[in-house]
Formats: sequence, C-alpha cells, structure tokens
Amino acid sequence: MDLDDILALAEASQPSPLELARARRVARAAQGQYDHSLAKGYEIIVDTDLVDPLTADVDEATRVGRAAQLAKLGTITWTTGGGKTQGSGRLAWSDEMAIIFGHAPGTLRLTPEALGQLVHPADVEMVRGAVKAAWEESRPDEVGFRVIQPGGSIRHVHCHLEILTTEGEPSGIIATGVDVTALELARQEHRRLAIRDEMLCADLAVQDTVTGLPTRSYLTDEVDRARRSTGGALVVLATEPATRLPDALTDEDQDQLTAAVAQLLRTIVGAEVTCGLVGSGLWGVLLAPPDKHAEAAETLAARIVDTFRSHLFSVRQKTMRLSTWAGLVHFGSGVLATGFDLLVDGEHAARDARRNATPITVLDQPVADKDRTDRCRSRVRRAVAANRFALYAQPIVDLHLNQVTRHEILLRVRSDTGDAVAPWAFLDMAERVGEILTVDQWVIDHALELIGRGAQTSHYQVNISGKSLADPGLLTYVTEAIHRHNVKPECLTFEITETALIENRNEALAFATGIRQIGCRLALDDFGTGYAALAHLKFLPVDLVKIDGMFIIDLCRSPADQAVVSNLVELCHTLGIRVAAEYVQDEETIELLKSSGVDFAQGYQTGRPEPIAVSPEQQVQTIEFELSLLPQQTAMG
Amino acid sequence: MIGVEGTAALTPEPADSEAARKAEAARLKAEHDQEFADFVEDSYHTVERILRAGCWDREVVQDALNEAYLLGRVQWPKIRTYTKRAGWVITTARNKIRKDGERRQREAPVAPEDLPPEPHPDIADVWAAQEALRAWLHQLPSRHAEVFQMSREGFSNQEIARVLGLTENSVRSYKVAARKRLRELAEAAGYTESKDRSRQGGSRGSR
Repeated sequence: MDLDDILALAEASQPSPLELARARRVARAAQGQYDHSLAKGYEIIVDTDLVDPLTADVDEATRVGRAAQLAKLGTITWTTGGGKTQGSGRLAWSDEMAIIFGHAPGTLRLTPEALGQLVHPADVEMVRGAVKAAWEESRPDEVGFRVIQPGGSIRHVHCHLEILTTEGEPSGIIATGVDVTALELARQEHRRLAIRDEMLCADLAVQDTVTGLPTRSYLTDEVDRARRSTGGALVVLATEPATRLPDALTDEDQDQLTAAVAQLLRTIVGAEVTCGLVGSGLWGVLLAPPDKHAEAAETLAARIVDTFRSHLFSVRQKTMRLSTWAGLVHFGSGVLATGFDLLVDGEHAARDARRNATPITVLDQPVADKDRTDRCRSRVRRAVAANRFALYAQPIVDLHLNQVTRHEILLRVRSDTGDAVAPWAFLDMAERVGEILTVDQWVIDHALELIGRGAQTSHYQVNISGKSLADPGLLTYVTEAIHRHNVKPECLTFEITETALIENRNEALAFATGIRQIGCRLALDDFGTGYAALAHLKFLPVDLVKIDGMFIIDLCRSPADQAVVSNLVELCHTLGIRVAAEYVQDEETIELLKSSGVDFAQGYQTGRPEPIAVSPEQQVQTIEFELSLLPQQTAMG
Repeated sequence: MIGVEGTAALTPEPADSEAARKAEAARLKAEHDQEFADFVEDSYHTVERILRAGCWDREVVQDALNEAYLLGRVQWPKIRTYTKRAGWVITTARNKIRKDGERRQREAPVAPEDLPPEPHPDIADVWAAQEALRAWLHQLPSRHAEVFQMSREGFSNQEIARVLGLTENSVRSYKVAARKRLRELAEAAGYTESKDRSRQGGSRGSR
C-alpha cells in the first residue's frame, strides 16, 4: 500500500446513511433558527462577504487582499508596476498591516527603506533573503520576524509570501501577515518548560554515593523536623572492626565495608525508616514515636546491635566482624535540642555504651546543652592535644599539562581503634561548637612542617574553615608557621571550606588579602553549594575555585551539570580565577572537564589520598591514564 | 395565513393581490427551504472534510459549519445563485474558525505543537484510511492541507485560489508540497509499496 492506494481507499465510499442524517440535522437546525427569526421578527446579522468568490473579476492582488481583510489579516503588496525590472515597483500595505506595525492607517508612505527600518535589525536580512528567494524561484514561502513599533515595543509577526501573477507573468508579491506574539510567547514558554524538565535533577545531595542512604545533613534535617513535630527516638550505632586485619583497610575497602553495612541496616529497619551514615562508623536511625503496634525503639536497637555483631562481613575475600554499640535518645515533640544536638547525644550515648561494655545506652531525654557542648569541646581539644589526626595528600592534575602539579592536604581522624577515618562528622561537630580553629591550627602547623621537610616540588593546598577566618590571630599564626618550617609561600594555596560560615567579612577579607601578600594563593572549596555566594568571587581575592563534587559526579549523564560547569568556568576565567573539579571518577569525566576548560582535576580517577611520607621521593609525575593517551596525541601531531 | 382569508371578503381587490403575493412568497420560501436542505445534504461532507484537513478540532469545525450554514440559509436567495455555493460556505466557516481560534488564543495561548498524538494506523478499511490521512494532513501547514483536500474534492486550482484567498501560483506550489510531504509521512509509517506492484509480486510468487 502507498499513498495513492490510501487516498483511493479513503475516497472510495459515499457518505453513510448516518452521515447523511447528520448533514440533514445541520440543515434542519439552520432552517429552524431561520424560521424562528422570521416568526419573532428579528434579524440574523450576516457579517460576511456576500460576493461569489468565483465570479469576482479583479486582479489577484485585490482578491487576496480582500480575502485577508475579511479574515482580519494584514497585507503588504509589492507590484512590479508592469515592467519586469525590480526596484521600480510599488509597495503598499493594508490598514490592518499598518496597525500590526504600530502605525495609524494611512500615516506612513511605505517604501522598501521604510519597511527595512520597521523590521527588527536582527531579522531584516533574513526577511530580505526570504522575499528575494521567493521572487526569484517564483514560489510561495512563509517568514516570521519581529517588528519594532514606534513606541519601541516589539511584536512577533508571521507572514505568508505569495507570488502574484498577471496574464501568466509574475507581477508582484503579496505578504499576508498576522501578529503572532501571543502564540510565539506560548511557543517559547513551551520550549523553556521542556528544557527545564530535562534539566531538572533529583536532589543528589540527599543520597550518599557509597551507601545509597541519606547523608548526614539530610538525616540531621529529618531529626530536626521530627523534634519540631511528632517527637520520636534516634538510634546512633557505632561500629568498628572487631578484629584487626593484618594490614590497614584502604579507602576502597572502607567503602566496600560501608556499603555492606548500609545494605544490612536497610534490610533490618525496612524501607520506610529514615537511616543514614552520620560519621565514619556511625549510623543514625530515626524512629517515629512509639505506638501500640510498632516495635519499641529499645527492642529495635537491640536487634540491630545483635544482627550487626553476629554478621560476617566480607572485605577483600576475608571475613570480618564488627563490634557494635548503640545509643538511643528519646525526644518529645518541641524539645529545644536541635537535630544536630540529638545526633551528638546519640553518638555520645553510643560511646558510653562502648566504654561501659553494654550493647545499648538509653537516654530518656536530650542532654543539657552545656554538658553536650562541653563534652564536644573537650573531645576536640583532647584529639588535638593527643595528635589523634593524620595527614594525607591527594594528587591534583593540571589538565592543561596532563601532570600532577599539586596536592591537597587532607585531614584524617584516628578512630578509637587507631584507624584513620574521614573527618567530616568530626569537623562538623568542631565547627558547630566553635572549636574548628584549634583543628585548623593543628593542620596548618603539621602540614607546613611536613611540606617544609620535603622537597617542595609540588604545590600544596591546605584547608581552612570559613569559620576560622573570624579569628584575627590566624594570619599571624600562618605567617609564623610558614617561616618556622621554611616553606616557600608560593607553593601554598589555602582553601576556604564552608564559606557559608564566614562570620566576619572584614576579617575574612583581611586574612585573604594578607595571605596573598605573603605570596600564598587563595581558593574557595565546594563552590556552588551551601551559601557559597557569587559575591565571594567579587570581593575575596580568590585565585582558584573548586567546583563542588555534586556537579561533577554525574557530569557525563547530566546536561544540567555540564551547563553549570562550563558556564562557571567561563565566569571564573573572565574574573581571572582558575577552576578545579573534585570527585572525578572516570576518564569520560576528565575528557568533558578538559573540553569545558577546567584547569585542575582531583578524584579517585587521578589518584586517591595517600598518607604523607615524611620525605616523599621525587615521583614520576605522570599518571597512568595520561600515558595511555600519549600515542593518540603523537598520532594527531 | 388563515387570518388573511377572513379579511379577503371585505376588501377583495388589494387582499387578492396581497394574498397572491404572500402565497407566492410562501411558495418561494418552501422552494428555497427544499433547495437549501438539498444543498446542505449534498455539500456538508465535502466541506467538513476540507475544513478538518486544516483544523484538527472537530468540534470547532462543526460549530463553524453550523453557523456558516445558518448564514447561508439567511442569505440563500443570494447565495443560491453562486457558481460554487460550497465555496462560500468554506470561506465563511474558515473565517469563523480563525476568529474562534484567536479568541481562544487570547484566553489561553496554546502552542500549535500541542497536537493530539499521531496514531500509528493499520489501514484496513475506509475509516482507518480516512483517519490516517487526516492525521498526516494535520502534520502539514494548514494551507497545504486545505489546498490538497480541496483538490481531492474536485475543486480546480482557480476555484481553490478564490475560495481560500490565495494566489494561483501558491495553490500549485502548495499542492505539490503537500503531496510530497504526505508521501514522506506515508513512507515513514511503512506504506511504501504500491498495491499494483505487490500484486505483481504476489502473482509471480504463486507461479
């Protein structure tokens, strides 16, 4: 079957009796209304043309113009005026068209130049081209363009261009047009919504990439919501390896173990309960207030502890057990302790359970604010005093050179078992109780000491919390440490983390300016999330912006992330700021980052954090993935 | 009418002519009524098909046609003399549809992209063929679709140009463009092979 067969089939039948009946119904209805009007003596007004369209003997221009007028459309007519030479013709528009262009009918004598002035400058060439092509090829066309009305307002107009014929010869062009601004706006809005739908992403920050469970901040918010509404109970589980493996767990092993624990926890509590990783080896489970049918919080906590303790986790083809303790905090609705406070109470309760060698410690209500803060502070101070930290370095690749040219110095906290674990929960606590400066000072001192002892061949990036910048003594402390450890200031970049916590803009600016005066560089960490305002780029003398990992992790699959990254790069480069990307996990992402013009990349793909050797050997500063690219590059060259 | 007869006895002369005039008027009206009814029954389907080629909303078309035919009846004494009376209905109904569309556009602008989804037809009977054709016609610019449908209904180029208010040059171009695009759409839906050819193939196969 092809088109002709389908046409033949469609036209094969006569109207069915049913269809004929429908036609008769229309006739009867019209007749009935007409008779009614006669009987009642009112007139049905006929507002249409009563000329037989087929007999009127006028030229095409007049005929088409008249039809357009009836349809409330505007026309512009150009006729050659007999001669075939172009340019000598006559140009005229209908009243309706004059109104579309914003002119009172009859006030403007239309010339090609005048018309060119009325059309939006950006569209003039396109319109001219369309008209010229239609005339030369003697075929109809359509064209959409903007007109600028005398008051300056812009309207969208759509025109059909048609070739007029007189005695078999092309004799002119008639453009039938209508103001389509409303339609055009609707169309644009339609397109915009389609783009928005495509670009809108699920909130990735909610889910932790390793565990697939809610993150610490999400859980904190949920606990906070619960204490403001229904109240409930929070279980915090502390886990640590029960047996020491012959060699310490690597980051990958840790992640594998964490994922396994997350899965087990989810299986125990079920899909409905909010639970998540709230620190290294710390898990939070939020429970609704008890009702008759549900399991009591104590029972559930005990069940989790039992299951965790008896479960054999397999890491690196070996099995291991986890020692587990639980802290349980009951809280009523409307308690003053915040979500964060309750989380800390739960953690402390779990620690108490560990210390007392009981599976669970139960708190019937949140701890008093002062006790909690004191305990947090003393924990931080003790950790600093006892040097319970370790420094790691993660390589950063210069994407223009394909070389590791920098390292970020990262802090790890030693857990109770002595393992170095990720510090985010600890830093969160230290920041909230105002002890972060102590930690930052420890990091600066020890990092600079290690750097000073080394060859200082790389460039080092050291983190400082935005909160610490409020301390007027910080600049002096840093300057003094740089001199004491003989570090070349030009090898140092200070990364400001948690810019949201910058409390004192004046102090922050003083530190930033001062640190650059002694030759160090300044970077903003985790840019694009939290309250990292663009204003910071304006007033802080920033040299480097590190795009937050949430824009990078899904970069290859997310057009929205690509748009953010490439435009952020453009913005930063315009402002004279270099750009780094963190959480780079595969080769594809690196290629995308390069094509967006990102300067530095950091992540598991380019190198995991390693403990800093006291005297690092001069390493070959090319990494594997670049070697694999080399043949291609030479082939291209 | 019966009342008229009552007064006829008193003033026979003028009443007679009056009655005769009225009777003549009634006769003429009855004649027109019948003529109009025949015209509607005759033209309705053609006109509806043409208008539905250009406008996908069947209800809008039917409303416009109801109105156009009513106006047609009011002005029947004039319109009955037209060369192509259906042409006048088409012109009138099209302008109604346009006006209606503009009003709705003002109320809630809708992009014309919001067409109902195109069916994937399995063309087995007349109805399916008509539906498929209509769906394809709606993918065309409405001018192209209307011109094409009118030419299928037997209107000449000159008639189409005059009824739709186009130049004859345009009608020729639109016809060609519409046919080309329809063929593409049919092919895209898998209707590529002519029946004649497949019949030939079939007969060869059976030998």
